[in-house]
Amino acid sequence: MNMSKTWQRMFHTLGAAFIGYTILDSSIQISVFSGPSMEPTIQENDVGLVEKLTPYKKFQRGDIVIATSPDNPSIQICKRILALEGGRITSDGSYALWREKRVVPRGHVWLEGDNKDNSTDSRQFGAIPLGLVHCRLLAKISPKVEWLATSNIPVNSS
Amino acid sequence: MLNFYWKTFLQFTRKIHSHIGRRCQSTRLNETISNSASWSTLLMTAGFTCCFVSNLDDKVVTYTMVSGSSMQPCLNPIGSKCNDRVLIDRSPKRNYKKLKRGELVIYRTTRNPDEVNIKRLVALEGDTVTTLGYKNRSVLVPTGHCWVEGDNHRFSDDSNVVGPVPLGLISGRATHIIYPPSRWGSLCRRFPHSRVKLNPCEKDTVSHLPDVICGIS
Repeated sequence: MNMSKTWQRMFHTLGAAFIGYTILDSSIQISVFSGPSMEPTIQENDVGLVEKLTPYKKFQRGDIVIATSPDNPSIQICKRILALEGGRITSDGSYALWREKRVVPRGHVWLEGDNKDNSTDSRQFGAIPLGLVHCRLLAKISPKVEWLATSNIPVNSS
Repeated sequence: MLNFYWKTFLQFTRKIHSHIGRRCQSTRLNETISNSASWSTLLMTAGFTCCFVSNLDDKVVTYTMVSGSSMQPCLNPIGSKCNDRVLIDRSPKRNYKKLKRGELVIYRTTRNPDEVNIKRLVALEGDTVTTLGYKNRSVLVPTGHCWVEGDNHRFSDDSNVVGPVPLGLISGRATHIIYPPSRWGSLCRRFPHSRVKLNPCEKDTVSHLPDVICGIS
């Protein structure tokens, strides 16, 4: 009967859409950025493509990542990883504990925004646990498409 | 967990597949169409079920096995033949303000992001905790953080070892024990009244809660 064929088509379309959504949603995300802390790399209202597939151990220095803020779990922050666990910190910050210790503890990362003068980052709240980091920025898609390489580590970091 | 999902998924797809197959076999005309169509329907049903269960698991409710003795006697008590499985509610991931003191929560550990611990949330931001074995005798929990403790303090890797835990690491709240059947039941909130002083801005919502029962009696 024609009915069962229509049902089948409808089921197939809905099923494919749902499967597609799940696969995409668990692997990539489109994000709109706000705030000046990553200028000039990322400006206000830029749109970027982030990926959620990197396992925790594969994050590298220089990656721009999105993490849940340790001061407020409802906010996501976007910063660059400057040091991984075991790495040394030489940048000057107001977070006295880290200035003394100078080594990123196990399971943590040190994040800093590219715009050093206008960024609240690990210099204020210390190294954050890797469990808070969940996406990595792959490319910007607005205002113009730019693939973000991870080799652009600022010169004055350790 | 994978075993459980696989069995459920197989039962579910077999039911749907036979149901759709029966509808297609209603007339002879549909015989040739149904053979190729039913394979794609089976694949589609399989994919749909996987995605549905995966979404449910990640965003709504899941279950997990508890290993270790850090939550004795509440979970995995001495003398229990198998590890407890608990039902996890994922709603704290969507709204952290709904977390209440005294609940059991699961969180990614600060020292190893691939590891997930289950402990009791005893203090939220602004509370003052008298610690057991931490480097500071008394801690004021900072904004955006919480203090978690295992009921069995001596064998527990919790805030008394690593300090306050950022709320962003919490991925769910354990509400019920679902296996073994002899230990079915809901997990109640408990609060260590003697060691936690509430945030002065907060209304008192914990005075009715029973005290924590510690593992070592």
